[in-house]
Amino acid sequence: MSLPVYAGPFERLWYYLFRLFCILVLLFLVLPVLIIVPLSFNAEPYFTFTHGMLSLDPAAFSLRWYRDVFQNGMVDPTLPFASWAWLSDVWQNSQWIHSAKNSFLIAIGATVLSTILGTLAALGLSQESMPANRLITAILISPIIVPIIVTSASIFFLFARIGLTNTYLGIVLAHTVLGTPFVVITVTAAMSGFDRSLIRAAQMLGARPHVVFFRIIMPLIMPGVISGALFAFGTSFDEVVAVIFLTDFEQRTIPRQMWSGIREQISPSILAVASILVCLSILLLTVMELLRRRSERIRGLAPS
Amino acid sequence: MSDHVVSVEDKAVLKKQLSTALRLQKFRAVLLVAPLLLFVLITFLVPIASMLTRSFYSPDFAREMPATAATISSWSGTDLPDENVYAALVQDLTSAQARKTIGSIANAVNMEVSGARSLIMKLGRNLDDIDPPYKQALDKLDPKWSNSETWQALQNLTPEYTGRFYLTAVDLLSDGHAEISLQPEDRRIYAPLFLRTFAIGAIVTLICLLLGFPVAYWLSALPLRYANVLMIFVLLPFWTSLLVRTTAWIVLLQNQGVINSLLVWAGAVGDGNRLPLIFNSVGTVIAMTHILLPFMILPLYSVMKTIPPSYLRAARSLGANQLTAFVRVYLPQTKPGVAAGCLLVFILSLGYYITPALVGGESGTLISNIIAHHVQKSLNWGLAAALSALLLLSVLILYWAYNRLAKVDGLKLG
Amino acid sequence: MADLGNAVRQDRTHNGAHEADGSIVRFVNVQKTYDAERLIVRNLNLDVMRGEFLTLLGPSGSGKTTTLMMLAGFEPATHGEIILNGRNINRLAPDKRGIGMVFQNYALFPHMSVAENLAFPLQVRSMPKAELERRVKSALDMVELSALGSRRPAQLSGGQQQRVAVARALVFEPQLVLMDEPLGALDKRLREQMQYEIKSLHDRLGVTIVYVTHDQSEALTMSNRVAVFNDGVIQQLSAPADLYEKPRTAFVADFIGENNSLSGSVNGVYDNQIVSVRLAGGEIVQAVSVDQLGPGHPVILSIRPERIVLNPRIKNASMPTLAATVEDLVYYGDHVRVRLSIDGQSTIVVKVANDGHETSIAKGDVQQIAWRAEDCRAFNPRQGGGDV
Repeated sequence: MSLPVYAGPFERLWYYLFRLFCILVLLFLVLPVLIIVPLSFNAEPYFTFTHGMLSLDPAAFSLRWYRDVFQNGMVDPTLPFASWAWLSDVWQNSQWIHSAKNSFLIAIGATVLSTILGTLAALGLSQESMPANRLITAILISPIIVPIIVTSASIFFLFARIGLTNTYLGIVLAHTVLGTPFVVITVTAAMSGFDRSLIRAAQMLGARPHVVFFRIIMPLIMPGVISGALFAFGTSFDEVVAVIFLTDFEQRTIPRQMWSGIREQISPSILAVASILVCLSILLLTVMELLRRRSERIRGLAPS
Repeated sequence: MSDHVVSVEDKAVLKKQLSTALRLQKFRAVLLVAPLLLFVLITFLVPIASMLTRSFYSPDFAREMPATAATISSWSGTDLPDENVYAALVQDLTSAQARKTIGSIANAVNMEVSGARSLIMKLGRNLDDIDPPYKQALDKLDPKWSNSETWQALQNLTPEYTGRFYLTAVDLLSDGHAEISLQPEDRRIYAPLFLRTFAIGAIVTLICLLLGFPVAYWLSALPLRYANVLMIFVLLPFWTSLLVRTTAWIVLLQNQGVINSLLVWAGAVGDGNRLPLIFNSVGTVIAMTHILLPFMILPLYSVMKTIPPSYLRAARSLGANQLTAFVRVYLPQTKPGVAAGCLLVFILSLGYYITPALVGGESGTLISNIIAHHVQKSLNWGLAAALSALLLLSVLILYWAYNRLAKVDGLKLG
Repeated sequence: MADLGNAVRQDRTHNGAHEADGSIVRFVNVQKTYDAERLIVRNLNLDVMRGEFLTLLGPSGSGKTTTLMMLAGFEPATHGEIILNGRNINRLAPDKRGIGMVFQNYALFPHMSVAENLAFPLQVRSMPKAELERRVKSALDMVELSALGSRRPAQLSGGQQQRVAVARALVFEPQLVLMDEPLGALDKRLREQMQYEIKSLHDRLGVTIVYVTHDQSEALTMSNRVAVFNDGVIQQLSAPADLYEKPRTAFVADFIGENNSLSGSVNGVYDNQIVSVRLAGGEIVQAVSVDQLGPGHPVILSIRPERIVLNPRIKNASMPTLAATVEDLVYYGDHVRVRLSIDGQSTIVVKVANDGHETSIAKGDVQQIAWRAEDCRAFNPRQGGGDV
């Protein structure tokens, strides 16, 4: 949609204004996320750019908030930086490292469970003979739609009764509920793009049903499964309401600790954590993009 | 052509064979779906249903106070109750004192009438010194016992099945005798909160549409190579933690934050009157718009991508100018995307909790925040359940509409 | 390539010696219905001869694809028996039938390279690695794609994908190969080239091919025999030339090639099964009686446009002439197509070869037309059913 040669002055003006507007909206989307990264290197405990930072004075930048993130909770903060003793103290006692370990543990557990359950369900849902297909899909998707506060409170009452509150299993199960819809959606989408004549072709070539499944169906829907798993992982990793309702200090995750950090007294070390998370999401995005290209290549589209 | 159609006796046999084969296939499909369905049922649907029953079923008070419940139900409510109700109350509280449940009873009554907690606890402490006739004795202990409001509260609490939580949830007041009136204006809490939740949802949806539509249109018209690069601008915030984005807005919008500093530096506002951008509804709207904008752009983009440019070209070749071609030919085709995007953003905004709690301040909190308050702080679970039920109902109506307008697979995944 | 070809051929002749009746597949009274209401295939009896190229031809919904799917094992027969190599295969799973198949959209596995696609049927048969590699290589040679073994299907052109699909169906040396409209996705030129290649592979390997198409020219050029399907019934099963020259029903005459249809009634019956027919306008013409009808019986006449003679120089009694008005002329290069009306009611199209002589025809002329009796066939209009 380049500007046609016959465009009048008004159209020209509109053409450039429109683009400017779109670019501003896109900047509105990314700048707030990116702006915290330089701010996290602030040497002062302020949430704005100091004069020193704006004039690129090296003294105005520091890693103190990152050090703070790692050292907060250490038994002996005087240990030499990055020594073995320091590392082991950080690994065992740092508050944020503890949260990070919980976050990964819970997210991985929830991802494995939701990927297995969601993939199986999506395989069933994409069969023509599946009865009440639309209704069941709507039910399985509904955890995304139901307000998280309602879900969390309800699960809290159930888990309180059966003693699953303040346990790792409890929060993993809750996050599995929240993650499965994504797996169901992505795998169903992958199955709907699946050419069923490939199954017939494999059968004609002599493949038994299990061979057809593992060598033809699985490899082809794998991108859908993986992207569903990434969504489930992201959902669990980012989730905080269920964590607030269902867990105790021991099971706190990164978002949970950020939540209390922001509520109590926001310190720039929150920005350091946030910056690390931004880098993680860039990494995740890259993985997704690579997956998408791979899947397009497999399906025979030119990578774009 | 008689052999064209299957003969009658064969038909029955064949139909049976066909339905057996079909049943087998169905069974296989259901077997695959069953584990997840069961899981969702047990850890999601049943807990929600069981929580929602709290909104109309509350047997605890009648169970704890059986004698009072039995006698007070016949009280007319106009005057003070009879002596036998007083006696029943003392009897129930005496046994509750022994079971150490008097505190929770006092709490329950306190939710109906503020100040009732101390009244009951005081009675509990003095149970040994009280003798019949109890009517006078209680009045002597605390004149509030001669206040019919207190007894009204006790009577309200006795039925097992009750609509009182729903009345409270929509700011209605019941005197227990079929008279239902609106709460006095200064005591209305929930109806305004619902209205605010819907209003903020609508504003956020509208802003998202206004910002998202042009961007989606631009991206869909660009060559795929560029569109995919620019899509990163949409997907990066999408994949960034909610807490991170909320933190970012706190940093940007607060009094000493980046935007205010920038404005002061530019001389747009004085250092003394920095703009109050956060801890109010403005902050909630800005942060929620930023968080929900990708949910608008992605469905719009995927619909616009399927509209071939030949339609616009055809319209222009038929003599329509650019604006007419866009409004009459292109716009109607984007309707499914617009509907899906708007409903999705609106549905998600209704349930927002974290962002309003962190950046909303007093004027920016939403219905979710008050539900959380009643679950965790005030422990008024019946009311929390009633509020949840109303919130859930509005969301489900919208979800139903969404399902009719957009295929569920199209949901959210860019 | 010679390697594989010889191996298959020897195998085939060896087996053929044992098979007394020479048929590899038999359909015996096969019926098929999907809904227990309507029969898609009505009482099919068909023998597929060992080594032949048999085409199932018909419009969509005629039952040809269903027949192929029953043979492949994807659809169970409702009634009757399907026999492969003397063995009933009604209840045999597709993967145990050992039949090769080329699919409409090729169904090449997109996540495997060309060589992996070819190796797949051999791997599931647990073939030793060395033998497997040799077979894959010779199959690639056979379709002249040796250089492209490591490519993904998506990186190949339509014609190359088609060849891979054919090679994959042949690589495990099945005795029978099914092809379900395999050339439908190709453009005209490529289609003609692939027709030739498949045909020559068939001649070279001697494998039995059952081929489904709705394209009659494909059927005529490639097949040993063609079964024309309509309405779930084989209307005619014959060699391509017979199908064109001696159609047995009005449907076949109309479906295969270009055809003029005229209605009339039997006027008189001569010997040699020639009848004279009175057309709607009263003219008397002659035709071959296919359905042995008596005088007065209504008939449909069918005659090919190139068999009608315009303005015959020699007139005789066995070639009665008709007067017809030229309505339209269309120039085709090698021939001119003349549309004429008889009595202003029936239209008839005549192909006039462009041999440099007939140049005097003009719109509005009244011309004499005639045909040899044996070129015109008279069918019973009420008989839509088949003879199989």
